[in-house]
Amino acid sequence: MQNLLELKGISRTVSDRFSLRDVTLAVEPGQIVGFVGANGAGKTTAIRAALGLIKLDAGEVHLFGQRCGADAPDESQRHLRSRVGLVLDTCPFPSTLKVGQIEALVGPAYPTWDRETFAGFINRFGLDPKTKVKDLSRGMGMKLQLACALSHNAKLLVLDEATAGLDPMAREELLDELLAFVADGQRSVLLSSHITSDLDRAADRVICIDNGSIVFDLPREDITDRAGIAHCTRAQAAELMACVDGARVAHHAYSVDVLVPNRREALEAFPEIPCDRVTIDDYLRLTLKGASK
Amino acid sequence: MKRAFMSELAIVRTLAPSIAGVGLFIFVVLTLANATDGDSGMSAGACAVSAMSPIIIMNSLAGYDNQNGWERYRATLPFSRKDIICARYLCIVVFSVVMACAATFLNILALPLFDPMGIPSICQTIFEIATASAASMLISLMMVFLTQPLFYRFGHMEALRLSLGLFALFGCGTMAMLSSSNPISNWLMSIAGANPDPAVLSCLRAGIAVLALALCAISCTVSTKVYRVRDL
Repeated sequence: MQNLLELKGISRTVSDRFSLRDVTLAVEPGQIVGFVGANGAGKTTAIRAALGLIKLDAGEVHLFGQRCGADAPDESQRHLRSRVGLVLDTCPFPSTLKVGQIEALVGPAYPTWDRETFAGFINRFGLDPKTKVKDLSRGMGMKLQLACALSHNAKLLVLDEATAGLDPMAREELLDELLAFVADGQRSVLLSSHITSDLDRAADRVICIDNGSIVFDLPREDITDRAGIAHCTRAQAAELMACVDGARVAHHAYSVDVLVPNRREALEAFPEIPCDRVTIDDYLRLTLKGASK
Repeated sequence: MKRAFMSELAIVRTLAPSIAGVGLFIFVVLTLANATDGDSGMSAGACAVSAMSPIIIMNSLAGYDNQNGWERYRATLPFSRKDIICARYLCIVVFSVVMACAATFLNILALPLFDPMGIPSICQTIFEIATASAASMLISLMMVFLTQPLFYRFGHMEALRLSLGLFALFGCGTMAMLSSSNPISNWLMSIAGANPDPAVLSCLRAGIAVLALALCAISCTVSTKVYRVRDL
């Protein structure tokens, strides 16, 4: 099936210290794709590039199979963007507007805007139409954005650090909404976050970016079910590193952690070394900070 | 572009009451203060409101762009950058025209109150008020068109500082042009002096309107070019 979003080798020099370098990623239909990385790694810049907010030095952006981006013709930008919903980390609506007025601001942009759906979400999320945007809590602001993003029959949802600062209940609610959104197998979500526990639960794929380059792009199961973290001594770690391809090691004061790509194989080869399942957090930490062979 | 304009109107609707309130206050104060100067002073309130409206709405809308990253979010909506710019210009023009018409209408309604002061409610007075109000609005719009590309190039705060400088330059230039020693001023006074012919006034107004329209087209084109290459 056709990818809903594709970045093909995009590059862009943002400053002397940071640039996106040959970023390639794809979001397939029916997937929730987690986009992770440290602060300043390039997640938001890559999303800005995907949405055509910045010009590219090289590479291509494809939305729903068609070339998009800052240089695309006006008509194709209008058409393609009408099928994308966006949720940002902070509520982007003018702060003096009331919740009820946001529909008049955003609704006219979308030919497929559904007033009843929007009213339904406002009701369901417990948003008061008379509350001003500046008086909304972070969670309520996120819900208002989500109501806008889900009221025009979007095919692709892009969430940029939308779960940052939310309490566990609000994050749970958001993840439920996202799972329901992709349930029909036609729609997708690109979820940028550094709260990786959200992705443990919901993501189908995890893509990691660091210093402007993609570090890994894996199915979530390859991380949470297949990979493992071995807790061993320095001698054991040296032995493991010598035998296992793709292992990464992190030294602590009293122990050594070794990330192995296949936990079962590691356990079979070294039954004396305890090897636990790995969380996305551990995988990210060891991949970015750990040393390879 | 219509969709972008509708979206822009949602913001203008929230701004309109406060701007109208300020406009009404200025209208009342200036009309009362200048009515003693005869029928030429009578239009001061309407002229002030017509002149301030374009500048206030331009700054207010630019301020909204700056709030909470609305400008960036708006750029992700299904609008092209050209749509956004054209909608902004249209919004400023429509709002300015509505405010100028309202001020003129209010001035005409207020005319009978000033009968005892020797200001007649005749067609000539009404025509002069309408002409002065329209000219004020058009001149103010031209200033707005001159500065608007700065807002798209440098953002709200930086452009605000630059536009103040530009307005000051514009003001100095106008004063120098209208000083009695300047031949342009003498020429203007010779054709539109103390008691100008309505036909001459109409021609002058049409000339200013054409100039404003040309400036609008140029400014809109420049703003679109500037905005298209800007990273958001």
